[in-house]
Amino acid sequence: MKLNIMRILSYLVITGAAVLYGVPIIWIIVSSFKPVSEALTGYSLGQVLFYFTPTLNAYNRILAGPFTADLINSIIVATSTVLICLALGVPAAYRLARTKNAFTRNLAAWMISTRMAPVFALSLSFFILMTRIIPLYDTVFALITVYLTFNLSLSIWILMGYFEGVPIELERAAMIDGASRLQTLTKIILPISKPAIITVSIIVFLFSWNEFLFAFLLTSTAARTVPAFVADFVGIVVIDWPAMTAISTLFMLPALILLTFAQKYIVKGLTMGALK
Amino acid sequence: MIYLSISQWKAFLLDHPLVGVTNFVNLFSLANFYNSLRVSAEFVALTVTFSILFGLVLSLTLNQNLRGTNVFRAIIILPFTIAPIITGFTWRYLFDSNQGLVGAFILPSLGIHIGSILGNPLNALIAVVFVDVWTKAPFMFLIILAGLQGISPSLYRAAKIDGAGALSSFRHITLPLLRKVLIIAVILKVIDSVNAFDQIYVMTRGGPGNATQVLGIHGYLIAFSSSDIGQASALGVIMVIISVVAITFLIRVYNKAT
Repeated sequence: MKLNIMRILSYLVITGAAVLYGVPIIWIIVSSFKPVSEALTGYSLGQVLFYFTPTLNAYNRILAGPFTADLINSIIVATSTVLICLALGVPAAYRLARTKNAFTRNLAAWMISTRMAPVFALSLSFFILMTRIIPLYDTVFALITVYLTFNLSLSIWILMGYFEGVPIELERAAMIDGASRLQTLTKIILPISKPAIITVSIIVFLFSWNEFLFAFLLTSTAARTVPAFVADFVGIVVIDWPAMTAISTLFMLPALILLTFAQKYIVKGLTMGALK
Repeated sequence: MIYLSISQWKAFLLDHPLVGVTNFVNLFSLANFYNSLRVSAEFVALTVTFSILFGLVLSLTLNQNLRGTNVFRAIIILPFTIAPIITGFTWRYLFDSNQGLVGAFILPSLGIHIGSILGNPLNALIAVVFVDVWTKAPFMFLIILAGLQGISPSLYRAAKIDGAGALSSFRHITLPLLRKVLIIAVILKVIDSVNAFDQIYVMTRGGPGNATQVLGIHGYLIAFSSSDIGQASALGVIMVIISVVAITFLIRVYNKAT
């Protein structure tokens, strides 16, 4: 009997949380199909949620504007960051995983520190660096460089942990069969390390896709990504909410898709960065 | 960055002389600086406490073998994987007193008429704290859940045989074994809260007045509205010092716990 009360209570908590987290997202998606923003006062819940003719107007409006170019920038920045992170991270992590000394043991502390760096203070330094010293301001390279500094160490760390678990006998066997180091890495290690590589790709992608402060400070128009574009709405008093929610819906699609199909990799990546 | 903090970087000046501690002295003479220190302190204390408490409740609930755990977990962590700037706007919309689901519909139908939520200093602060907790609790939940899953179930079985109830096994098994994980969660959340910027920027831009002007927003306004990068960097240095002191203290607690 007592067990049942606990169960019911648990389900109540979960349902409450699901409403708290689900409803805002559903609200955003529903609102993006509304024709115009409208006042809600004096309506019933049914009217609020369903009494309107769905339309793609908001989507047509935003896709005709500068949003499309910014979306392309976002895609370029996020995918390049992921690819460069893997291209540099995999060999580095492999080498480190196969080397045991004081340096590799202390690496973890350094790796964590780059993820915890106080972003606001760093952003000013990067701003001066990119505007006055290296002329990268308002280019995608500026953002890719910054995102790499935040993500490369974490990627190396996650990959390293995984590579260390790969039995060295496998490599020895391959080498006896005449494979070179590089062949061992690409033919033996990489295929069995797929979970780690997927985890790293997703975590780095989501970071670069969602990052706001640097995107906002280091770009103006040419290399502007979606979060920086969205910030232009901040000062507006009467916001065009259907357009705003349409932007939000399109922009959260990757996260939605990834959570549906690769939830366990996201969970692993997020917690691995923090614990270990 | 320390170099920036002791030099004079003002807009449109071409040379940047070193000015020693002038930036710090000027910063300390601003009433606004103390305001943002206070707002940040309140923000950090409230968001850390509530996001960890909420994360703990969620993880304890989902750590049982319940049906549909995966689906619930996906729904709960979705907001954390969406850009903070988007979730910030989402809540600005939801809180809107004319068109928002919460501000224009739910609160009035519960008989609460507080007008514009983000336009009132106290409500705005509560709102930004709420949204931060809403966004970050899922991450705390994941970390704590990982910690819970590391606790061997045999311990609970043994406790049950010894006649321990749910509450006492939580107090004597779960909490002590979870202490390390909880401290890590606190460290991560403190760093995150000290550096809070995105969501507050889109929701209130530090306003109304300076009611939600945390250190990050204050620094941003100094750097790009008053165009004084030097002084903003001085503020940045102070934020780093605050983080380092807080983390060093927490790491000491952590080492004591192990």
